[in-house]
Amino acid sequence: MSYRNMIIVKVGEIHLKGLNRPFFERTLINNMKQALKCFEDIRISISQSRIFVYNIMPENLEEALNILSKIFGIHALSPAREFEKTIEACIENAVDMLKQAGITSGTFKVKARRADKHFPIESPEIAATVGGGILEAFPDMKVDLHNPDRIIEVEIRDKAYVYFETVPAVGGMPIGTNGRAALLLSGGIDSPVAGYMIAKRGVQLDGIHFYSYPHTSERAKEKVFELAQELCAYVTRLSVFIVPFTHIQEQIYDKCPDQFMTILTRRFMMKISERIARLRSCGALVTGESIGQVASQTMESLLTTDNAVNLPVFRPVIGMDKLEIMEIARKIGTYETSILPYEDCCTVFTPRHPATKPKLDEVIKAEALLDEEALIREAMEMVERIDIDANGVIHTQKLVDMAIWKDYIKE
Amino acid sequence: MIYLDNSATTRAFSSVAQVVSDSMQEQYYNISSPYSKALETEKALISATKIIALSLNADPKEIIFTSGGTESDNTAILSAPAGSEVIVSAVEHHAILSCARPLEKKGCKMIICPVTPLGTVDPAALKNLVNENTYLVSIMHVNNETGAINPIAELVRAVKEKNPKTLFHSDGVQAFMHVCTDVKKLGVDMYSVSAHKVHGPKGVGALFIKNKTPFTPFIYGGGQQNDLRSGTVNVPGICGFAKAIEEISSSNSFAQKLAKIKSAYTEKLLAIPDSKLICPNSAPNILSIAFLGVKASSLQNALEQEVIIGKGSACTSRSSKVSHVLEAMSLPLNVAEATVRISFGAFNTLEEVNDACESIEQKIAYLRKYKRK
Repeated sequence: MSYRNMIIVKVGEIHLKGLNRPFFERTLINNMKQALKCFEDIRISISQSRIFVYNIMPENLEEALNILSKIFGIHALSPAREFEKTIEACIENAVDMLKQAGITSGTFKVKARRADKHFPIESPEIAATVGGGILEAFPDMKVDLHNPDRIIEVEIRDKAYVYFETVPAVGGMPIGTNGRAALLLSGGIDSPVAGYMIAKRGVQLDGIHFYSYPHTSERAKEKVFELAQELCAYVTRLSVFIVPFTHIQEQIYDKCPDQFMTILTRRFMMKISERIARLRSCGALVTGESIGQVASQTMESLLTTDNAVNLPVFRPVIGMDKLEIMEIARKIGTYETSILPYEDCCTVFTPRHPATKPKLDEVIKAEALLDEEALIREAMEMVERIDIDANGVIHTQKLVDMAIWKDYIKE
Repeated sequence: MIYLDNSATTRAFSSVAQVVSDSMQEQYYNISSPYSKALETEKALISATKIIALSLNADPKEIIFTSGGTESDNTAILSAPAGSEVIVSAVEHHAILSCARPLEKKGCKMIICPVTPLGTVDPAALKNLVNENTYLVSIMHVNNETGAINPIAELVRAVKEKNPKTLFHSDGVQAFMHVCTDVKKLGVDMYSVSAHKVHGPKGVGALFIKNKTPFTPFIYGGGQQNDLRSGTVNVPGICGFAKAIEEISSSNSFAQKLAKIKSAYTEKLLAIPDSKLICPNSAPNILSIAFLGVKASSLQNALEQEVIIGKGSACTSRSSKVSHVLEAMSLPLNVAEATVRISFGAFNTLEEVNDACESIEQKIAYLRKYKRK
């Protein structure tokens, strides 16, 4: 009996795409290759909305499934066998696979799919024949078509395939198929979740973190890198732009009315983020705001922050309760890092009585007390870009040393 | 950069590093082996043990070596038999306090003795808690956050008056080489010390166990150290530890030198408005002081390019919660939040006091501009 072990990858929404489908599939395969580059000699091919992964060593199977299950665009994964398409081989492999897995009893059902219509036996008959072979080999197994313990799937394509295990994956769209967005990453629980949700729709992310040293510590910054690293399980690679923010906060503190301190801080964050976003060709900003969570997240405050920028602001957790956000954070593995107790914002700059219903014209009047352009310019000149992947920081560069900085200056 | 966080850990003396390196590369033999090379290593160990024992005025047979202060503390406290009671102070290091759970699992009870606003244990209050079921009392000698010195001899007397069978352990990690740690004068049954707080290597400590004290090993294995603590003996670490003690003892006025430095800092820093000394009578190595209106963590961050200071204990200072020690001393929140720990070691000098205090003063002035509105 000759066969190959492999993984069948089922794509989610991609197969709903029409003429653009090859673009989505190509992007997904590239993302898969990136994510699996820790394994040698991996081969990936595609046929009729199924993607096949070959050459995974049995000892790496579990890890490979785990990695693949976090790639957006993949709906489910099945470790399978591939072999020559004869009905005998189908029976032989199904029986042997069950034996190898130690399954000799319980109920089952065989589901057959004949994608290759030249194959002479029709699907119901394939299912019945393979089922018969299994019953013969394992007298303790029984057929149950309605509520079986396991479903044994047989697919006839260019080759034949058998599998009975399906690992669910994250779904969504392949990263890179829906542009790029800049995520304001604070170090709290909400922003990594917001990033995850937008990335899931195929959006490549850049992170932006505002850093108030010495009012917050170096460790708070390290924590953001750790969160970014954790997000890389899903997004493979993330650049985080660190914006020194102390001077702006101090200027707002010194010159503007107390009750607008928070909202003005948010507006500055949005404005600087928008500039970085444009440099990086991002089509939107992403934040972890949720209605009413804090003073800067009331509807009136959100209007005021939105007004600071022209890019659309995506807030995927806007309608979620904290508990719901925490649940996703736990699921994606960022929760434990998020709750590490390094202060990411300093209470000194949080007024005791912030305006919860700020009036836009008053806020703009308060903002006019500052030399906005000079402050933003000064901050931009000190921005650092930190490239991170699943293993940690891989590269650091100052924004002023990047080629895109020259375009920024021209503008 | 001026390093003033010696209670977190110290820089090793270069002579210590040399001894450790020699021991690792030349006298690396396992002392349990029969050949003569191993015997030489054993001799080195014996003489190091003597030095360490002598520094505590103990007999070498009364010393077991551990991986550090935490293991020494754990070993002492977890020796309590099932069903017994252990009394500890509210300001102990987590190496003691975190044993509450394993003790509970064993059916023991950990009773917490409160401290005075100065951070020390009152002998009468402690005596009140002792009963016939009290197996062990553990009170630290010098507190690692405030430098408060407990009157150990007096506390031992109070405990033994109430129950002569009760054992007394003291965590002497911060006291060792800084205040008198003569175990006979103190009257303790067990005493923990650590090498890296006195310019020795990390990963090595000792536990003094008075002759004839009932004792259950904490680590089992090949029966090294007379079956009291198994595991290949860390000869390089122990030799380095002994070397550090030798260096400090040879200068003969180590504690006085630190006291002078501390008093110079105290005088200068107390001249800063709204500063408050947390513990007036404290060990010469630790100065605990609050600069009201300045968050300890912000000051620590702002200073770190010029002066490194501490806040709480190094083991807990990553957390932004107020330390359990300051809380137990009933310090108001605004004082506790503003309390920093400045701690001295052999490499500090009187000459650097001016520069360090100037930086501290500047950063305080800067940070005080930003009060929560």
